[in-house]
Amino acid sequence: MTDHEQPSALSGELLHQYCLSLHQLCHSTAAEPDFVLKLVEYDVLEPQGQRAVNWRFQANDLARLRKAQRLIRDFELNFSGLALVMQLLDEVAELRRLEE
Amino acid sequence: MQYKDYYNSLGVKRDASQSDIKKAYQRLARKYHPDVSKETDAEERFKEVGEAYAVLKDPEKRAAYDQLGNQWKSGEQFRPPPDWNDGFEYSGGFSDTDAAAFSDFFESLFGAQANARAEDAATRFHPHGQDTHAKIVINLEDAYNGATRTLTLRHPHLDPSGKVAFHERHLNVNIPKGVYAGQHIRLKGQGDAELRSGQPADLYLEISFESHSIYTIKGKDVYVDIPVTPWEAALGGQITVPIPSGKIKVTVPANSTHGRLMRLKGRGIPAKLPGDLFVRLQIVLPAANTAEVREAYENLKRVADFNPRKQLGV
Repeated sequence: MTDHEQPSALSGELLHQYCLSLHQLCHSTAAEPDFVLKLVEYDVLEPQGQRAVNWRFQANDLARLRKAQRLIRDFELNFSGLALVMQLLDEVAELRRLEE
Repeated sequence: MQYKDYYNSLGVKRDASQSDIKKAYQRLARKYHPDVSKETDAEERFKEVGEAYAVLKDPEKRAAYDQLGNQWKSGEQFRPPPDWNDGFEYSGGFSDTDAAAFSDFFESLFGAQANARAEDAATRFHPHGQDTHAKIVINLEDAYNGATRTLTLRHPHLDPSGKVAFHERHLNVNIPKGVYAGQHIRLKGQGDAELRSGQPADLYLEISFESHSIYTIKGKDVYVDIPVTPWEAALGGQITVPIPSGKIKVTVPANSTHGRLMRLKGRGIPAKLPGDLFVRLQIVLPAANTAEVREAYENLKRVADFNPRKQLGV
């Protein structure tokens, strides 16, 4: 089943840096709010805003949250282990980028 | 359909204990998990390892698999024996791993349970209204000029018999000028339709860049190494530098050193707040391969009084 016929190109909305509410993030990833709260508590996600109702996440946090879900599932991590893994992965990515 | 040697996939013997199997899986997962691995075939290998583990970690599935016997070779043409599955009961259908990725071989052996639990499998792929997330790879030039890209999306879905099938969808998407890596474009209603309610979800496209032969990109800033002659660096002057949207004239200050970084404000990616373009000077020397050039070097040597190793104390 393919539909090659696309009449014209679609224009999406370019998302601003901190644009997603907790509700939108959860809806988009099917994550429980409690799970996101934990990720924030352990600094895996760092939204802007003081209280959960005002939090604004980056669009990139969608990818980050999914990565966290996969790592927890596939390596049986707890949250502090996850936070460490994510931090080390960020550092490795940065080092690889510098190496290039 | 090809036979799969799950023991071989995990690198364990057929009589390996459950704890050896778990250990082997953990080791391979650390090596090939697409989120942590730098191997080029990581995704492929991890799927293979995940499928093998889904079978071998479960004593019931493992016993059923073992019953096929050990005369099979990996990749050999395979059809399940007619009495396959007799006397085995599974507690669950698909494992908690992403079942959509599993092979036909797995499907034919353990797919029957999945059919019975199609409803379950469906919700696993698309929990309520889950938005779709995809990466789109563009050129740096696209970010400077804007572009249209065709994107192919593969969606797992369940066919009428409850098996997992994929369908491909092509989308033409406008890439607005000024995007940079890590930004997202939201296409409303272009995600997978939700299986139960049929309500369309959104599609999020994450921008990433193809690696470029001349430029390196950091956020909105762009870096380029520009070779200059010794006299351009020493005397200063105007040189022409390529930028992703064309070329630009740049003034090199006199007495520039190798590696000097020059910032061209606002010439990076033309976002709302544009990035900068950084030009790094690379001094290259003409070879002393004619009498004239040799003489010029000799003259310089005589008049310059220059010891680059002074600070090394020699």
